[in-house]
Amino acid sequence: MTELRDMPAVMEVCDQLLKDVGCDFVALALQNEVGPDVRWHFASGNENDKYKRITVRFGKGIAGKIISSGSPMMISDFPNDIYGKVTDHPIMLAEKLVSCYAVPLFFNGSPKGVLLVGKRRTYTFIDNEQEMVKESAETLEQILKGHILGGGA
Amino acid sequence: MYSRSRVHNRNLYLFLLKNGLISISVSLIIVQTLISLLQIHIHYLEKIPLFFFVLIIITIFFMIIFIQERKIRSKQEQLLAVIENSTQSLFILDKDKNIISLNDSGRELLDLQNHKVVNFCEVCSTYPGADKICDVSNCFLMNDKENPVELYIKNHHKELIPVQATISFYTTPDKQKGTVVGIQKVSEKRKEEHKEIEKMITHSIFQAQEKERKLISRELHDGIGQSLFGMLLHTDFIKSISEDKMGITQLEKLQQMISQTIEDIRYLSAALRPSTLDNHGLIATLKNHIRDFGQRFGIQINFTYKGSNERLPSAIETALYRIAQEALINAAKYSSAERIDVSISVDKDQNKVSLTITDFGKGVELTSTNRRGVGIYSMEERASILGGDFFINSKIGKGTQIQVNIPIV
Ligand SMILES: Nc1ncnc2c1ncn2[C@@H]1O[C@H](COP(=O)(O)OP(=O)(O)OP(=O)(O)O)[C@@H](O)[C@H]1O
Ligand SMILES: [Mg+2]
Repeated sequence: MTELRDMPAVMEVCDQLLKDVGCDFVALALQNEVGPDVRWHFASGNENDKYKRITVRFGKGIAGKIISSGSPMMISDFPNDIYGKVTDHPIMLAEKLVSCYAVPLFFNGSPKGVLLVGKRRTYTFIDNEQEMVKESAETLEQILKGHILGGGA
Repeated sequence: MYSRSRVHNRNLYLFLLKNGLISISVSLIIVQTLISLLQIHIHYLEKIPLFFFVLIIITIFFMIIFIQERKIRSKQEQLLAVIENSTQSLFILDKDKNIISLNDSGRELLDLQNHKVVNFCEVCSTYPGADKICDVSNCFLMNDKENPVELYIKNHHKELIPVQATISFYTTPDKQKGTVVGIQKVSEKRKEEHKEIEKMITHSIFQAQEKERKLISRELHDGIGQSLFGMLLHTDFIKSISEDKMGITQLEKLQQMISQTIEDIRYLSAALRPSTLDNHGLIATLKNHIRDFGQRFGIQINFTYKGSNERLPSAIETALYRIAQEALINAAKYSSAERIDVSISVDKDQNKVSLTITDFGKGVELTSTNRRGVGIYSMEERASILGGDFFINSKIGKGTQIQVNIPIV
């Protein structure tokens, strides 16, 4: 599959979302084509390249949990308001995020990706911002549909 | 006693002589002023009785002052002498536990020559073992309910001295709560006993923990893991005889879920205690762990090993594995490092093995307050139980290095 980093349309949506929500970090995770593991494929506002190396197991980490549950999730004050361990949140640690909001991306009716926005300070994402993330997720689903289907499934 | 009272008398005479001169001149001035004020003219011989009268009054006055002052001073001196010569080390602290004053015995205890200790927390090393970690809100200095308390004092050479402390309180001049700490050394023998007992307890806790983990890990892997695998095989069989297309699709979904659960169980079992540690040894296990760990946190971890293919004693392998695990978790949690180096080297000649974990992250200044966790403490204990030593070195902005040397016996 072509690297998402090389897809200008994906980049554009993420950069725009970063600006619209006024957050520090936007990232996109997708489930691997083979196997259940999840990887971060694209990020904007990142401080380092750790996200490219992070692989989480299905059901683990923020990305893994959203893909297995299919519902959005928010953290306002990491690591004080989390369920589970600090070490179950590698993307938060890698990017020193303190708050985040993340939604699933659906392909063929099942959750296969995650769009995450985050800030490096405590913050509660308001309805309006959550809506913006969901809309961007839908746009990304459209952009990536052909890509995912064409590439694998 | 005799010479003491002579000294005291000489003091009195000196005092009288000095003040006698002052008294005479003051009396003269008073008499002279009185006469000139009242504008009487008398012969100077007639002034003499008046002069003596004034002189006597002033002298009595001075005597009273002297006696009073001596009383107060002797009380103070007595108190100071008691404090200074007490075999108990006394520390007088203000409300922030700063040492305002300490006696000779206290100075001796800390082995201070010219050095100064500012805060009591710098010398206080709370009881090792279960309560080793200093909890500021629970500090024994804040209440006298536990009097007396047993603890360790770190002297100037960083040696730990076992002591018993008694706490009492006083009100500082600015109406705050100050503390007086009285400290007495506990005998050497008891110190050794304490250390031995602590070591034994910690050792058996670690052993019990490891045993329990091994048991649960096996049970998960061989018990639940195996029965799930049995279920998977059974679904395969059902699939092979089924003709229902819809059913087969659902069956495949079920198979996927079972496989996923088997994976989860394997993962959990390995996280508790990897069976490779017993079967394939420390190096292979660490390599696996490091690969997974690096992938999980996106950190680049380099592993180097210097030594032969020979296995180390199992207690050492377990300790080193656990130490490396904790050090890596700390690095991932706190250091923000992008790179970590792990190295193990076995020195056959000196019969020792060293483990070093270096993160190139933000570093930390270790103080009594952030040493609350059990991570660093347990690494230290694991090394110490095996007769080894443990060092942690951290520079703000540079990173943290943990080094452990353990003798191979
Ligand atoms: N590699 C590191 N880089 C930066 N800071 C560190 C590192 N390791 C430890 N620290 C600091 O030292 C403190 C003590 O660490 P320790 O492992 O003893 O406890 P903890 O991690 O807070 O708790 P626990 O290990 O019990 O979960 C940490 O809270 C952290 O602030
Ligand atoms: Mg720790």
